[in-house]
Amino acid sequence: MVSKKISLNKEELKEIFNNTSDLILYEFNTLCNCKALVAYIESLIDRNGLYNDLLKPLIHELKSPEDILTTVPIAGAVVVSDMKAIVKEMLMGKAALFIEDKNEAYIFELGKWQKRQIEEPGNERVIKGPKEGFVEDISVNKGLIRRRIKNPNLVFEDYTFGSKTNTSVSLVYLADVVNPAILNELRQRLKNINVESILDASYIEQLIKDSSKSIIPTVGHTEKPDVAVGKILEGRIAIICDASPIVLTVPKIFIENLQTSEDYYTMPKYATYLRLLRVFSLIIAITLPGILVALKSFHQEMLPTSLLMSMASSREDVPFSALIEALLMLIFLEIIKESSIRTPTAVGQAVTVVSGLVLGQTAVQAGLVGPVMVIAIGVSGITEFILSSLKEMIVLYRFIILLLGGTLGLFGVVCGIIMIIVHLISIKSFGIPYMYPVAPYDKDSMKDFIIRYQIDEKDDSWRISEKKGRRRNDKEK
Amino acid sequence: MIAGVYQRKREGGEMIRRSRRIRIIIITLYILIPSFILSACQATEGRREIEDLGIVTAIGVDYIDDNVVVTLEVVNPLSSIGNNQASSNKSQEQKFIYPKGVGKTVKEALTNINLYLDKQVFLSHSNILVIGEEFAKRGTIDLMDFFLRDNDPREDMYIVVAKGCKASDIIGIRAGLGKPTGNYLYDTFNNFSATGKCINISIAENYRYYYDVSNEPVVGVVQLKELTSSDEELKNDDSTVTVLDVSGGAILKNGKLVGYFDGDEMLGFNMIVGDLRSGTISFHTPVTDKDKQNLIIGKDGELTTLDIIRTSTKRKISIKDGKIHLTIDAKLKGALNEINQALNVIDSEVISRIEEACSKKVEELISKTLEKGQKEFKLDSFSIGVAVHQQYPKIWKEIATEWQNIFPEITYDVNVETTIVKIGLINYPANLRRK
Repeated sequence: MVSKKISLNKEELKEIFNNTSDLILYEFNTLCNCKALVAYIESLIDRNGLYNDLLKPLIHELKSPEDILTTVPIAGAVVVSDMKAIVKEMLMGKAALFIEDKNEAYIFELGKWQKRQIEEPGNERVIKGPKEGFVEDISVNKGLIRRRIKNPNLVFEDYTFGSKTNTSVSLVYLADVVNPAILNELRQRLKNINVESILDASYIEQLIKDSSKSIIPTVGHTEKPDVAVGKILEGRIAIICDASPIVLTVPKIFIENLQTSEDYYTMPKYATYLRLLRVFSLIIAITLPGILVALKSFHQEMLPTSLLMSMASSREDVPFSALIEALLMLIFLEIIKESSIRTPTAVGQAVTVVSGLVLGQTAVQAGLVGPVMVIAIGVSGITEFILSSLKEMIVLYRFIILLLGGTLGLFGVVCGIIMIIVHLISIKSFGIPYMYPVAPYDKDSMKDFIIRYQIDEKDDSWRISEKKGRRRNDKEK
Repeated sequence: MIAGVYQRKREGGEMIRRSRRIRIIIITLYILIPSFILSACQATEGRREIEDLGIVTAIGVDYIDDNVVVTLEVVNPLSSIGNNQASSNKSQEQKFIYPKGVGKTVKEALTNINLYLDKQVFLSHSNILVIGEEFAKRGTIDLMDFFLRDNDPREDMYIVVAKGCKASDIIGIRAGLGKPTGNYLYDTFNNFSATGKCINISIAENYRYYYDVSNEPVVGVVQLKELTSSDEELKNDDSTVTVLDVSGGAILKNGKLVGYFDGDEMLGFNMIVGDLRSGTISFHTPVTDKDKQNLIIGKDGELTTLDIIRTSTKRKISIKDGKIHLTIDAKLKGALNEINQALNVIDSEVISRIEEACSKKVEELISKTLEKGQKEFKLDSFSIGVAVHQQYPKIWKEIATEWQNIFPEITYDVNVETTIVKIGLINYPANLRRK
């Protein structure tokens, strides 16, 4: 409780904040000659606002302590008498004003801190379409979404997580399209979160994810407001986390990995072509090294004769078996990729040149690997970037398929692919089967599957989580 | 980073369960990893690395002194065709080697090759199986079980009889452009559709004919041919180059070689079985004195060559008084390719004359081949039995076993209808000087 004595309040605040140096406690006399104390965290406050809008009116204009709310030109001021609440507000960039002989404090919104400009996110570049990206500030991110859906049905639902970090998290959904079952499920999972710290939206992803041991992403990520809004309009729920430019969307189905925002900004036929290309890339990314090794060490009769001959001539000097050769190349590739992400940009160029050109060519010349293997590993390495959201899955499954192909031949590759497909079909995201429009098959939702149909004014069948999801959940109950 | 998750999991007996699970995973890996890495031991059936393989491009089988002799053409990968870098460095090296193996059976002979060849014999990429004449006379079916039973050799490998020589004489002659004999022969046989004078039958097809009572196969033929060399370096020595000639067909009876068709007879043969896709026919168009004024505008008596574009053959069987009569209705579409006879081809009457002459020529070809089959070999190689089977299934059941005896007795007539669809780029013969 707030004490009537300012000095007592001062001591209490000092104690609560462990005498931190950025806590400012400023005592002064107002015009009406009563003692006042302004408490705030220096780094979270707009100084100009503090001087001009709070201190100046109080010192020069305040006639009586009762007129504070009318004299200070700051909207949304509240009166709080609980010390804990005051501390919480101060930590969110607000200033607390204590007046002598009053056992309550006025809270003024004065927050301002350094934040990044809105810029194009590096991960989801588009040629055609909006280029704004989310930033690390939750209120800016909320604004980016609100600006795109001018509709009172758009709801933000705020939570705070992390007993140490007190991170604000907000659910965003359209009240009239969202599937209540999914929303309740999400609320339930959020309620069970009990962690000390949340530094990024990915923490929440891991905490609310279905089948937590699977490496398949069952929660969508995006850094672009137009993508998030698109998902919200389809009935999904977005989760914004303070201090993170990543916005999560649930539920997520498999085909979302193969869709990009640009698919909706270009001609439907071209988008369909691009999606087919992505399906092809996915297959290549996972299976190409495995199939090549299987062909090289088990099924030479399946290679075209001339390719076999050129392979035989290039393999003649290679000391390792095809499997070891592929594993070596793949591990090299992963090392190069990891190092080129971490290197400072000034050195990055050099790293790419040395690793890509010099290593690749000299490895072939030195007879460490065959040229065909370099091409196969290179191609499957590149395709992984087309499907950035499936990165983890591709990298790990590629190794598994490679090992299976190198030890059991094509039989092993086929077994591996079947196991991956079975796994994909078996998992769910917030009650929606992961391979939704295919397994279980739903003809209506196929309009935005691999073939993208024309945008239809009346058709809302693509709202998977709204209609279909609800029906499915009812059935399960 | 995710300390909270970790803490939550630690509650209860979670920790003990985790460690037990980890132990199970480690034990599984101990079992699996060696089995993955050491699985290279299953050398023959399972894994074999490309560098261990001797890639065979052609197989030849011969009978010499009651032994099977297998001649292989194996590519030397270091000199190889695909790799430019390697071949430029080591151009002097041998590109192919020709190991021979002797044994009582085909497999035994093949295994004996491995006694001195440092590579594992790998037959899957061989497209050509050359059978020596001697071997073919003894039978193409006996001793050939290996080619169907083993999983390495391809069933669609062309089976070819070496006419008048041994298979080992054929294998090793590379008249193609730096290609191995196998690929050279394979590509030449695929020209079948361009010349119509040869035939390509695979091992599987040969077996299919063998099992079928209604017809006997005609398989491809290859023979050595000497040509005077046009190569500048060799010209002065009056030397010759040896090439492989694939015209003709080998007639098999019960899998044994009984005789040959030559190139022109194969043209007729392919026409009878309805498998002629292309080829050329040369003929002379007879002209009477009366015709000369309007039809002939130049020299008479030379040949005209027609390029076959498309053919279709219908074989009708009719039975009269218990005798089987065959009617062959063939339709032929062609383009005039070379006219030395100086015919006035812009006249439609001339065109119909040429068509008639061509039809007559083709009829002759067909009759000649049929007659040879009936009189000389007394053997239905033309799958006419199939036609009888299709058109008179009930009668066929009675005569099926006797068919090869009945075939020489059947009567036939041949009707060919030629249509000329193109006359080429010029209207008048090139040898015509206009007044």
